[in-house]
Amino acid sequence: MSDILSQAAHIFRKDTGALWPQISILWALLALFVAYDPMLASAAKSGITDYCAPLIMVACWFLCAGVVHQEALTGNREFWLTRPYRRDSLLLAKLLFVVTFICLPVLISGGVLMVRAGVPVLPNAGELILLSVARSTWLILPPFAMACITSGFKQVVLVVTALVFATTVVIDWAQSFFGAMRPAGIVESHNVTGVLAMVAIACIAIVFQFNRRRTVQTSGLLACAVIALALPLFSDGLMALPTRILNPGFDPDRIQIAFDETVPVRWDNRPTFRTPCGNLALKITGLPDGATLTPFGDSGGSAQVRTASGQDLRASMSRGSIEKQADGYWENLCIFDLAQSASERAEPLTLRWSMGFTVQSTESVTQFPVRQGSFAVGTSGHCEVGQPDFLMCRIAPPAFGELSIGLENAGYRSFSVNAASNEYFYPAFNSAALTPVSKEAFYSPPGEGGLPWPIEDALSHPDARFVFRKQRVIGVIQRELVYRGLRFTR
Amino acid sequence: MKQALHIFLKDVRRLWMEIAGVMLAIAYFAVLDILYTVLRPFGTDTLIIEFIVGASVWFLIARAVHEESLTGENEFWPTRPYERGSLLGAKIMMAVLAVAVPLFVADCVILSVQSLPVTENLGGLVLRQLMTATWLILPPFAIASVTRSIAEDVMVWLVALTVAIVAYFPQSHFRAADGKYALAGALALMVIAASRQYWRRGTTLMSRALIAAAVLLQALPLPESTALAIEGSRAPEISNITVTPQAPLIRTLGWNSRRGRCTAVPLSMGRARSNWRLEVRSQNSTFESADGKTWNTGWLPPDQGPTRYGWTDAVIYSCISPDGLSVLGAGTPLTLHVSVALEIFAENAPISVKATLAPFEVPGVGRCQFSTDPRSQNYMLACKAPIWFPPPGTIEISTAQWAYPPISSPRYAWTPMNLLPGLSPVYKWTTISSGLAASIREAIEHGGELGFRTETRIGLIRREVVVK
Repeated sequence: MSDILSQAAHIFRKDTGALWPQISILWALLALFVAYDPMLASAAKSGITDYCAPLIMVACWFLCAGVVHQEALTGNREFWLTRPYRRDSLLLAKLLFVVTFICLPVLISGGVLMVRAGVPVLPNAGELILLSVARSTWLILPPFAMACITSGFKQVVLVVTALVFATTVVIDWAQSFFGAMRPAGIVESHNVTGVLAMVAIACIAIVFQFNRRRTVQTSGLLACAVIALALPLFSDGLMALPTRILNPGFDPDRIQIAFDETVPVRWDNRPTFRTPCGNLALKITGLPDGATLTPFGDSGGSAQVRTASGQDLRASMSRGSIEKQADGYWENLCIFDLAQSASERAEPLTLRWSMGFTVQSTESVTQFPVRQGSFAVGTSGHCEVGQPDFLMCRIAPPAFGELSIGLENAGYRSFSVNAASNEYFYPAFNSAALTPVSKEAFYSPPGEGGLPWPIEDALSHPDARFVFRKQRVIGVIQRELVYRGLRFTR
Repeated sequence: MKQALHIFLKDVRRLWMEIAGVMLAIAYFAVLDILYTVLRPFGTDTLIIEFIVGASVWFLIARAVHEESLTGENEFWPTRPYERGSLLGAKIMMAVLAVAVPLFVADCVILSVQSLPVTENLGGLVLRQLMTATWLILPPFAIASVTRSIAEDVMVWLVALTVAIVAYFPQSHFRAADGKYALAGALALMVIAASRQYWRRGTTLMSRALIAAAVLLQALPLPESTALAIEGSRAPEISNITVTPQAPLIRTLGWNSRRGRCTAVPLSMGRARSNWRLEVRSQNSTFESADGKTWNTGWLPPDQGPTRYGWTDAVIYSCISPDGLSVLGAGTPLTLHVSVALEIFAENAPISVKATLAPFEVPGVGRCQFSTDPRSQNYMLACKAPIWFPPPGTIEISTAQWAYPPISSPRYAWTPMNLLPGLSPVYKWTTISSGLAASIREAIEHGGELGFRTETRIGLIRREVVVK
């Protein structure tokens, strides 16, 4: 055992000496990212971190591939015939290198960003580590796996370009042929099954290649890992598998959603709305207590509204969470192309809303009366009501889930004012991909939409409260809702 | 020449996979570009495929140059089997035949499939290839000529991009419009670096310094002054234009969801001709409190729309973020100093076109047709312009009063001669919003007319405004 460790340490030192320029570049980029903190930088400078993020990703991939290629596992060079290294030492050394020079610096930069934003680090350390592990699925695993089956960075570039190209072509044509089969985004946003399968197969392939050095078989395994990403395309059951494992007893199929046409539409009469907007009552059954529904995907905000004469109108549904209010569930609808005369005629309209919804469990973090000043949001960060009409929060969202901010008064809860969430399983090419802190600013001037009542008004209501909740996706469902006799009766 | 051909053929044999990759990516880009329409988009995003084309071209060029790496002292160079001129010729041949020619062919195919004239645009197509080569081929060529391997190449790119980002961003928006002069200088330095490297191999340090200078050129502190001097001199009479606040005191507005708390500053503009239009290109606001604390927004795009011809009034909005307010202190009176960069446009003679459902040509703009938006089922004007970006200006609909939708937006200030940026030779856009659907329907039914009032940009001025 000590032989393995001492050889691994030797390889580690040798790699560090050979790859110091790559390490320096990555660290310099991380330092730059922290220096131009996206949470604190002014508007003019905040763009720096957005451009830094993809460069950090390239630098990580470059370093990761570089360290594996120091002793390229492919081919039969004289190196492998004389076998100066044990393969387990080699794997251990490479993992040690990746942890020391990529994982730890990324983790530390996250910690520094938390400190600078005034978010306590220790209570959020677990979330920070979880987040780093999740992000390593796209920051470390892909280049590490690809480097195992290639002999140099040239080949990695070729493989990556070919993979991105092939994926783009497949997605383009699959969408053009099968686009209507699923709501857009359902696969991209919640493909945890595919990601977990991909990660597992890729890890097996890496260990196999270090152990046996069989490049053809390993390449086959990695191809399977890439194809595994598409698993949920073929079956709803597969897509829902992790949800069912993590939430035994919860059955998303029991949730029924429909418009309740027996309850009159509540039309918004706020003068600032230039388009007719109404609140439609929903009948929802089978939703667990405290759970919320959130429409998602590219078409999450659109619905088809057709007049009796067959004319299609442009309409938008609110995209905040749907949750139980004092008198049931409601969804907001605005119709843009409806001429005033049509609303006067009270022409019946047919509304169709075909959507994917995430079912989210909610757990209250904290709540406090709406008042001026600064306050802590549990251990997640802090917020400030600095002016009569704005709320600014710097908070660390949970690694898997989001932190929603709402305003509650007399049994009515605003839909999520803002929801801070982390980008994790998919490569995200902006600063949000690398920071564990989220800056949420919410402005609510009197007379503008967004909240049922502005913060300035809420300040004078003794019962009004800000509510902070942790939300986690526990299921994904797809439903079509139809409202056949929608009438304007303002 | 014979030796250059020999080297080229050897490179083709060695790099056939990379060449095939470039051609495949260009071919797929052409397919996507043809299938894509503004009203019915096809595929994920042409930007991804443009990125793939860029990456594969970079890889091919770098690999081709590294085939006979110019840096370092390997055994190849003491024996000198090749003339340097032949070597450079062979690499240029690779860039032209494997990248520029396929792109040119793709451009011609894209134009002809979309029924846009190829022969009339031949000059423009050639100019476009030259422009594309400056950003697609030249930088990878120059960097590869001062590096030894792909790994070294990637490191240089990472460092260069980091420096460029840091140097560029503190002055962000205004630079984006007028940093083109610095960019032209940077490209010239790259040409010098690459040719010097092929001419006098071994003096790598000097060539690397030239590449570094090209990257750092973007960080020069006075680019907007340079741009103002160059563009202002085109029409000296525009320097007489005055911009003054209508009142020394301004009122505070509410919150803007993107910017923070905003103020509106009404301006009066004097000594402008009646057919001129002034448009704020960018603005840099500095708020100062009574105790001397300041908050600067940096150069940002303006919030308000364009003014009309002959109008002498305009309003600019300056916004301070919550962070800025907490630095200066809420509730205290502030002095606002705004630097505004104003573009001046002169109106051209209007082009009248009959409103019809058939496709129609608008000279100098492109080919347009009324189409129905698949979502709202309302008429919109869908246009496409080959090679050149459509000129700025507005559209007048004979059946709509007081509605002047822009011909197209946004505009690009980067490319020379108003050539289209990117890989696509056709710019597709829609104009005339669905709010004018009734007017469009009426114009089509009753033989109404559309007036395309194009404009020529005649210059750029900078003015300072101070209010309390």
